Amino acid sequence: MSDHPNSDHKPDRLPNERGFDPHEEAAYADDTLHRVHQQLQREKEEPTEGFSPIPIFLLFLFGGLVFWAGIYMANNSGEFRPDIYNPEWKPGGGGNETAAAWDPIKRGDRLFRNNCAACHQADGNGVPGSFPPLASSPWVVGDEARLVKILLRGLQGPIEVMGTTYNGAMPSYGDNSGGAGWSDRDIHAIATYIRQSWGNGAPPVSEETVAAVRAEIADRDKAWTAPELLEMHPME
Amino acid sequence: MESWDGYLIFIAAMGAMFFTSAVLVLVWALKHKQFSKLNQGARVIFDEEEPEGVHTDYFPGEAAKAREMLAKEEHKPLKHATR
Amino acid sequence: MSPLISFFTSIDPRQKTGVPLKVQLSEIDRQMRVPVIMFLCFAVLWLQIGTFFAMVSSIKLHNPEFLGDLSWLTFGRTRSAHLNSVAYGWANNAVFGVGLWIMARLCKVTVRHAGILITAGIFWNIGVAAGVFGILSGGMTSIEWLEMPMQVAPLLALSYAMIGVWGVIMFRYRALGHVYVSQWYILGGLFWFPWIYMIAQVMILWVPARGTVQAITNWWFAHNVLGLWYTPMGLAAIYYFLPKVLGRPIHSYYLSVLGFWSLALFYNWAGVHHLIGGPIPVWLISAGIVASVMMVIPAIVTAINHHMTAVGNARAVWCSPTLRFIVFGAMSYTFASLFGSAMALRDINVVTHFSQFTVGHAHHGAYAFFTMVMFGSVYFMVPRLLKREWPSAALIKVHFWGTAIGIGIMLFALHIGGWIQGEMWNELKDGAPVYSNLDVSQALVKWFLSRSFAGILLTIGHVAFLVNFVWMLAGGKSTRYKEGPTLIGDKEGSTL
Ligand code: HEC
Repeated sequence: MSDHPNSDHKPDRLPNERGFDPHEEAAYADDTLHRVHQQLQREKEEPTEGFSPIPIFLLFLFGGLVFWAGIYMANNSGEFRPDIYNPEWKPGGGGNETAAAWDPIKRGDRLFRNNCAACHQADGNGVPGSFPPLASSPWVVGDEARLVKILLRGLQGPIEVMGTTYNGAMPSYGDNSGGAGWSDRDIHAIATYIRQSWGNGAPPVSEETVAAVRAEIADRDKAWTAPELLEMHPME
Repeated sequence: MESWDGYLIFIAAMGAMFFTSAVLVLVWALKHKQFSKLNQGARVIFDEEEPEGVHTDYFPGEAAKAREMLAKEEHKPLKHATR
Repeated sequence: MSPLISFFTSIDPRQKTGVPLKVQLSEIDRQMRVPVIMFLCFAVLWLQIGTFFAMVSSIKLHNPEFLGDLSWLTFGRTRSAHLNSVAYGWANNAVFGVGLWIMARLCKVTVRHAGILITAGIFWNIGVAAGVFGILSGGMTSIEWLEMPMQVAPLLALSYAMIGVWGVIMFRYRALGHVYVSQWYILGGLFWFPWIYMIAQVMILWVPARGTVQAITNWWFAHNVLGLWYTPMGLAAIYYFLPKVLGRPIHSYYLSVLGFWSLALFYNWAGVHHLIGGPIPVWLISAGIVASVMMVIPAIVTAINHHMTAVGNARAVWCSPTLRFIVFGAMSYTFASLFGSAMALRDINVVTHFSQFTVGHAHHGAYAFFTMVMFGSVYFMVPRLLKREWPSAALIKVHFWGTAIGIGIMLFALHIGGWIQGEMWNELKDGAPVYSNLDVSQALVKWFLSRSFAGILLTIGHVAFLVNFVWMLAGGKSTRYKEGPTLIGDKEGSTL
């Protein structure tokens, strides 16, 4: 490059050449210039390598990476099939098995963790003062129609659960406005799950029961209140 | 499944274009000798105003002090000066 | 000549021949002055706005009731308002200013129709403001990194086109045959950003693709906007300012070129690692993981290069505000990249995914690397553009220490806290999680508090920056300009 000082002459700028800009004179006071000059000369004494090759350890590192990449792709590609999502999939094994049998507890467990546990907690004990417990609650293990109604329309206003009064709002999982619109099957799964977890030992709620209750309350849109439910289904 | 494949093909085509354009530019660069004389290439950032071998930035008001300090250090040989 | 043709000849930004180089250079700085300073003003402004939303969001994470009654300032909105104002407001404006200026200097040409550039810049910022307003008023989309209501996209795309094109024009008419590595990075970024932005907008919002293709496109975009837009621009600035300020060429220019090409060819695969565990073809994810790990190559190459250039010059780095920030950013780039590669591995991702670790990583790249580099660049450029020295060294130091310590604490808190969070989520006993969500949230409170504390330090730094910047624009103590060879002589003696 033209402005690279490659011969012995001084850097081609001297303080007095910069007459148009006296402010900068200080910057190029003699000692600086001297230093610059020194530096340039010193640099020149160093051996010129020309083209510096890649350090050898880098070559090894890059080679190793490429090797790893090949192995990794070979082991985790699912044969490049668009329908394989699991890296553990092996040709001939796994994937092709018949669909797992329907298990309401397994499904219920999942639904519970993803939907209810945030309020009623993973151990089903609720949060004192805010969310009532499900473990050993008579509302859960008692009349199944009452439970399904709660799940299908939600609940609001004061409610007494095992001697404590709560006053909050329980969301709806049914098909009313604002409800989450769960299927009969999922309501059956969650109801069965909460009736049989944390030491609760009530019988399962069948899909048919859910369908029947759903049909029965089709005209209602609002959430229930506890007294309302108790009137229809008195506490055992 | 069908529509899925359609999108995948679209994405693949986009990806391929992305890659080809990069390769084409790489070829252009090779043809135009962008990879030779790299040592000079590294120096294009310097110019008459801010030449090689000069520090060009200090805290405002502290330039003189800094320059003095740096000048002292200059006497030690620079270990890694490269060309 | 028809007006159209004369317009096209008039964009030729080359300097008239026969003019001495020195005059040409000061002419370039003079012509770039107004647009570049404008972009920097917008950038600094958005930085403050983004910081405000960041603080609000951060406080809400440990005190959810804070401003809880204002729907405009609920967490979901402030968080996205933060992201969009720092990404499209601060970072993009900074990139426009810094990138175009470096491009002009390296090409030794300038922008002819600065008026078009300025108008486009104003429209870009109107677009961003409308977008952030849309987010706050509840009109945001559910697509990460594309939260702005889709209606602003055409405006942004159009203004971008009118901004980015000047970079390409300057490149086209560059005075020197050799393309410096910073020019490669800037040119690449100028093409990559509109490419990924438009594909993502179209395939996700305008003509939505079906199913998980949306998610794939989303993360392809969100990851590339960091890796193929902010990263190249940050690296371009490092490769320009580091050797420039030290007055010695980059250690191994060869390695830097290698670093650029490995990024250009392979980076755009890496984004899919955000979907590890998701229902998309596993080979695609594995390819994303491999590409992410391969990014070790540019990271190491760049690290060696930067280190070897700066080594032995510690004091020179310390004496230069620009280099303090730039070297901080360059070191963060290395660590952020290596962390990123590690996080793409399935075994590590299983802990870090969805946790605050990822948030920490994003700030590692976008702040500790990119933003710090941009700060450094601004400290170098503005004195040369305004022919004036920064009014206060003390404010620069406050800015540096506030941001350096602040981001240090924040990264520490988020990485450690995030790791704990991930481990707690994963802890199983008899196939069931041991910790409830509440337990995990409670365990995080102290880390969230540390983040807010770090945020206060960052805010102090940003305000110091703002004050210094405004003071500088307003004239400042221009006498200081006597000291140090930090300024370019101006033959015409013209000022803004
Ligand atoms: C937003 C928090 C929330 C969610 C999510 C939630 N609930 Fe509730 N749930 C409540 C509140 C609050 C009450 C008490 C309502 C009242 O005060 O009237 C309640 C009451 C109940 C009751 C009756 C009282 C008792 O403790 O037995 C049952 C049964 C119940 N919920 C089951 C569920 C199931 C099953 C799910 C998940 C599908 C669920 N809840 C999801 C908040 C919630």
